[in-house]
Amino acid sequence: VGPFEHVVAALDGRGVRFVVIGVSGANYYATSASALFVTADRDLFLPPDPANTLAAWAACESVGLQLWSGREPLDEPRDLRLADAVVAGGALVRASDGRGLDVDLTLVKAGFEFETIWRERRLFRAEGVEIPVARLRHIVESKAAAGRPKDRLFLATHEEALRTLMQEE
Amino acid sequence: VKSEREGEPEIPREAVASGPVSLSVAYQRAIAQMESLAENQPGSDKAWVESSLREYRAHYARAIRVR
Repeated sequence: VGPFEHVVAALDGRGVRFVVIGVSGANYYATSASALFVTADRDLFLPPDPANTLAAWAACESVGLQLWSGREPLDEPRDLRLADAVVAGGALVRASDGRGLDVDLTLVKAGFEFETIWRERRLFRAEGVEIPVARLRHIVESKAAAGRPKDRLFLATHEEALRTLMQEE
Repeated sequence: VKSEREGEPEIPREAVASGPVSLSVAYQRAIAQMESLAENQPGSDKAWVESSLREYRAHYARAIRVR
């Protein structure tokens, strides 16, 4: 089992609700390796639920990932009180193995509530693990709503790739 | 495998606008088609996605400068 699938299995084992979003989510809809986008991190969208957030932290730590808030290690103790504060602030926590696997636990997705994404998620399989991935439409619409320079660059490249692929088919 | 930053060198960051973007009808149609493909239905095996990305990174991690 690959490192990311290992993380997903740990999250699943603790009943964590999450959906893969962002470029890493869009990659699951690619039809070949040549259509994949290289991205350094995996973006997981979590509901604004402190207990779920705490369970996600525990799952990540159980597979050896370190938790970060910005450039600092996430505060301790990592309890419900801290999870409450993180959820209230919509703060991003990164779980990293320090060797290239960076998993961003995000509570905010431009233009969408978690439950909307969750209801329409697709479950793909990888090495015996079920991976919940946001709909491609939701991923793209969220990037369009955010409209940061990096989102615009992704959208331009992705649109061209998809339209070329569809013309070929 | 494309880099997420592909194309960035030709577009200076300060010249790239920010703010919500409208999606073209053709793009939205292409997304719907992509979602409807047999290989993108729930339960599809996607193990190749992560393994391809790992191979890509390993390939470039092994690269050495020759001149």
